[in-house]
Amino acid sequence: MSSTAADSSLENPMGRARLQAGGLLASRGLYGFVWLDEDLIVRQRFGNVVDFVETGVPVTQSVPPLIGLEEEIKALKGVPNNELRLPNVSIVTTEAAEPRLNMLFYSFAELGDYYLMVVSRSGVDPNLEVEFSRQIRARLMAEAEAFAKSKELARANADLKVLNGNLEQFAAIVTHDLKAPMRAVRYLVDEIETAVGANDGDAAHTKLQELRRQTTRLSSMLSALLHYSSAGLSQQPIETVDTRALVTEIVRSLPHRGIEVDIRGTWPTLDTLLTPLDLTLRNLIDNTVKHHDRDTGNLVIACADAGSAIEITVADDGPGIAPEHHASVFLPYRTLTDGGEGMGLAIVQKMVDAAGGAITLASNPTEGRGTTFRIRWPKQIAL
Amino acid sequence: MRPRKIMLLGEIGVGKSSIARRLVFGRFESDYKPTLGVDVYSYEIEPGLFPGGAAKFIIWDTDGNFRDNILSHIYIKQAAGALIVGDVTRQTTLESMVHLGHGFMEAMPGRYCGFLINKTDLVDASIELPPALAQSTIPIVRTSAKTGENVREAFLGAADVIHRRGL
Repeated sequence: MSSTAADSSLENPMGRARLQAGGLLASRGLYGFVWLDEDLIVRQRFGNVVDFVETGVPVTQSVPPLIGLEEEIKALKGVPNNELRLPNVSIVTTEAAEPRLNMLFYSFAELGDYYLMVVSRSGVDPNLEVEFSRQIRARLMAEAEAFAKSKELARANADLKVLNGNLEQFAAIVTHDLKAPMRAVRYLVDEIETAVGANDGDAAHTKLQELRRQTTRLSSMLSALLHYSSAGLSQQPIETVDTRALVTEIVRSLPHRGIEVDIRGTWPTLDTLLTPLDLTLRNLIDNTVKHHDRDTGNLVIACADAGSAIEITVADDGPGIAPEHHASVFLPYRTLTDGGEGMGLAIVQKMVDAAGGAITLASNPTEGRGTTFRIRWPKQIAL
Repeated sequence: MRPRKIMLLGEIGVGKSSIARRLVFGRFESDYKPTLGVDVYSYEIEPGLFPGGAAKFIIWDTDGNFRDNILSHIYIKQAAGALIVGDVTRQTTLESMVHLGHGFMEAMPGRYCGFLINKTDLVDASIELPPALAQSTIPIVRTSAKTGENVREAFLGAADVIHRRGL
């Protein structure tokens, strides 16, 4: 009896018939199967042919013919289509005639480093035995492949869900937050048309200047939105980051007017997402300086160890943020002053979320000046 | 107590299975049934019977048709020793013992090897052995599976050497 790859396929009626015949043989006590883990400990067994095999202990200790054969069985690992055969073995325990058994071993790295021991009674057609064993192996490999594919599919679905979520948010922002400036542009065009129709050159000129200002602002908002949308993507690489060097460089590169910046604490070197961390610190520092209401002031940027994370605090002595605004400051296009497009803290929130961290805000102008942002940034990024 | 694997080697019909069954079950059967493949027995030696204390053997009673091929077969892997059996009434089996003995020691250096001249109940005790066998350095024990003579002693001797060599 010969077999080809097509014959072995479960889609092929002959292939299925052979496998069903094998199952019948197993149920009739002619075959037994034993699953061994990577330490050759018996995890499962099927068929009364292998009733003598003890579960939970290494098969090479409990089955007399296999004693001392650990090396030979483990040598199967990683070698495709390799098998170990012990034919015509009888385990004699009584004076009565004992059945002769054939033992075959395969390794299955595809299923997590397991070994399969197929035990058959000698006297079964050897061709059928080999064919049956091949069917088992083909089926198990097909199952392993299907399992791996379903895991991949689940992962892809999860990624798609995140992307869809991002797209929905993007669409919501575009339709809601950009509608107002677009409306303003349209009204200005109408007013310019009216002014031109009325030969009011001065009015038309003023409105044109306003139109220029609005379209510049719109362009700026769109750039900020794109920047926000591209922030925190999982394709960011993990890099070794000297966090002290990073924060020092950011402080040096940003204009901070009369604000004194003090870097304190222990800043470790981490394997982390460089760009998101950079943008988080950069936007927070820039936001603080931009919204400070005095010509001089103080900004303290500190870092401390927090177990599985580092805790970065950015604390200023500016005007503070009223508690009723604490949640909304992290939303896109939310600004409490005239400076900027209001995307800075939204980007910070997104970056921190992408890293698996958290950000909180402490501030209450009625109790005193100052705002403290507290970021928990994980030491290890789970992607 | 770690079991030790002992091979019973030799030509067909020399009495390997009878020796194994005499040792394990204390009985002898006169009906000859050739071994196909290998029969595996477990035998425990009680404490006090040899200097090493207790021991457990896994005895591999092999098919005589293997001949030299047994020396390259997977069955021989991890064997602590071999008892090579010959039929004292058939000279050719005694001659092939020497060949098998040297082959085993080459294939499994350092392992115990012993010769069992079996069926001594059928001949005169003074029977001459082939020169190659008589001059061999491998220890010889004259046994009879039928009467039980020296069967257990042969395995006790093997157990002692295996224990001393730490095999």
